[in-house]
Amino acid sequence: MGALPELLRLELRRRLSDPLTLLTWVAIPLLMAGLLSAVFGPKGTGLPRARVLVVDHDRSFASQALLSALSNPRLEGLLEVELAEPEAARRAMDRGRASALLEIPASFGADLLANRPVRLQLHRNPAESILPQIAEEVLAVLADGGTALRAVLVAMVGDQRLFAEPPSLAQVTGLASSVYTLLDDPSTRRLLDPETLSVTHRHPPAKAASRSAVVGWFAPGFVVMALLFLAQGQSSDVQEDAAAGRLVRAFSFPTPPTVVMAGKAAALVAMGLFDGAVLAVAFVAALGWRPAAPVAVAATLVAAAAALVGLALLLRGLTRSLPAGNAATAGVMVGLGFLGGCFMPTQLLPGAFQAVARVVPTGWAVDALRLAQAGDDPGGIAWRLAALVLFAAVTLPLAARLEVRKAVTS
Amino acid sequence: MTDLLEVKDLVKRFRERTAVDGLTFRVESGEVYGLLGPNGAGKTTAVRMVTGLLRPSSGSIRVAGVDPFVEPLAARANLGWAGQELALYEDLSAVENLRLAATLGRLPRRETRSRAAELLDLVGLADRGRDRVESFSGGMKRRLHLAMALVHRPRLLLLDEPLVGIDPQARALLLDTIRRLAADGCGVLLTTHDMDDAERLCRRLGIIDRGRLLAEGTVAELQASLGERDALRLEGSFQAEAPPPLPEGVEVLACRDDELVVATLHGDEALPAVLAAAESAGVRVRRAALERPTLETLFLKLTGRELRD
Repeated sequence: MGALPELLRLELRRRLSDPLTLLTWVAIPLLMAGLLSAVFGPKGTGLPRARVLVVDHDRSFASQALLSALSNPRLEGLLEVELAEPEAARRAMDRGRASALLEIPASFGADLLANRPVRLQLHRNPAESILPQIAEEVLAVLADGGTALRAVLVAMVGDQRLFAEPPSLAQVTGLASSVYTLLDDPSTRRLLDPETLSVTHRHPPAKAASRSAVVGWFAPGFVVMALLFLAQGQSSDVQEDAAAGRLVRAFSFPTPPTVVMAGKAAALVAMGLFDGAVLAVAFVAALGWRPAAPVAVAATLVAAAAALVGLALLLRGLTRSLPAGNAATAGVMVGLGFLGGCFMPTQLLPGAFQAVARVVPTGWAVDALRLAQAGDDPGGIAWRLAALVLFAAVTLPLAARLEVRKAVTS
Repeated sequence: MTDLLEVKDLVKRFRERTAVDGLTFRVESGEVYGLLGPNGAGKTTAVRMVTGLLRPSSGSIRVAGVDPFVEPLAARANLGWAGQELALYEDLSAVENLRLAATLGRLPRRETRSRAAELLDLVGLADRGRDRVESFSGGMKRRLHLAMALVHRPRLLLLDEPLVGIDPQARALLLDTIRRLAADGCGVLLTTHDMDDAERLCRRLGIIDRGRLLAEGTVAELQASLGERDALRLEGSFQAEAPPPLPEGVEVLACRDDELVVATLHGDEALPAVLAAAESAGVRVRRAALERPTLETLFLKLTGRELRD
């Protein structure tokens, strides 16, 4: 393996000797980061919010509390809540001007306090998918919080039939006193605080909370996508070498063909790492991406680059010509990018696709980056890294064998 | 001289097609051995098997006494291969291409620079070492291609059509380089279908077609083995109806008033006797020419005139 460092150096020298190609590979992720920065950065309009129209048929203390919770400043980044009259709200929904319409029934407050089942109705805009989903998720979290709050209130007040009849002044005073006592209690405040109701706000950074949340949404997928495209494009070099007779000639020297192929694969992985690192740095610098576990991010980049280069070389090895290799790698890479969650979260994919996403290298890479970004579940990161390394360990030697066989028999 | 390459009963089958069919030959040190054959005769397949990259269906190969399929790296350390295709990295300089070959050839790093300079000088590219190969002419590329095969000082050189597509100057330089390598003790296996190159370079020749070795030997041996005769063409005052009496073994092919053409096995030896016979018959010979059968004649006689793909 003594020849490997020199082979790697010469392979990189070749690739770096073409500044235009190098510039293109660096420019693509930078351009993507720049565009995203322009949209979501300090001067951008930010993440699109779900416009939720609320028709309040109840207009009680409880419905007002629900509206207040939905309009909480901490949810401003996700929801734009607007109280509307029933007819105007339906017209707006018909014209697609809102993501969702929430109807609070007339008996909402009474049912809530009487411990009867409460049903809120959310009408989703069928033309949209992600934003109504956000509204629905937020509402579900608030409903859970409301249920817990009702249990606490009922326990504290101790009278489930409080509003069955008009309360006396003494009852109202007593209730007010109980509520204030309740609100002063730190354990109750935790339930009322939306911070505990929102998963996305579990680790709120001080200033760049919304920007960081936005970049965290797409950065892992984009980094893996950059690796995919680089592996697809640069691996063509191996087929060009084979077609020009350079591979078989290299194999005729007293260096094992596997070492020759290892030099080429190492150069591709190094290029992939460079490309992925440029994109990651651009996300950090321009969009405030702050992965909680940068070492895990770096390790994932290495493993993902090796796995995707292995896959690209394997596909090249299975195809007889450069055009066939280009078509096969492009098709498979785009498919894996989609399935792996590079373009959108896998949770939004149909169930069957989600099952496939769990067993593809792009899925492992994107998930590992998301976990490293959040800085939790080291076990989850570890098994995904192991899967990527194993995938590379299988595909790279297999691709080398195929390429050697093709080169000597062509 | 010792055998650097021994090929015995070599067979290679690709499914139903037999590309090489019982090939046997050897190349000695200091010898240029030419393997001649039409396109698709099995020359390149045979060479690939010699490199140890393509496993034969049967038969044996020894490179400097080493079986390339038992000890491939040891065998490859003794051979340098310059295939038909110009396998160069055009985006690298000539020196960088040689460095790559030196790395693959396991040349010690400290020798790389001096060896590259030596080889560039040998192939007449000393002043172009730093230039990218993409700026080179076809002849320059072909010379660099040869230099790369020599970088690790192989004892056996495999040259597959090394003189294709180059100008007369580059051809002369390459021919001279190959002769010098052989003079230094290198064994050279040259595959070609160019008869002139083969005649100029090769001490011995093997004519191959459809994977079989049809004939082998020096040009003179091949002529003799095929019974090809020399032609003597005499210009003078002959009588078409009455050619002069000629020595035994000399046959009249044509006789006109001003020319006599005869055939004999050893033309140079028979010429004085033929001239004397003409003089005795009262013919004044103005000019005599000896015409030997060319390698091309022999080649076509052996391989036929049918076109090959």
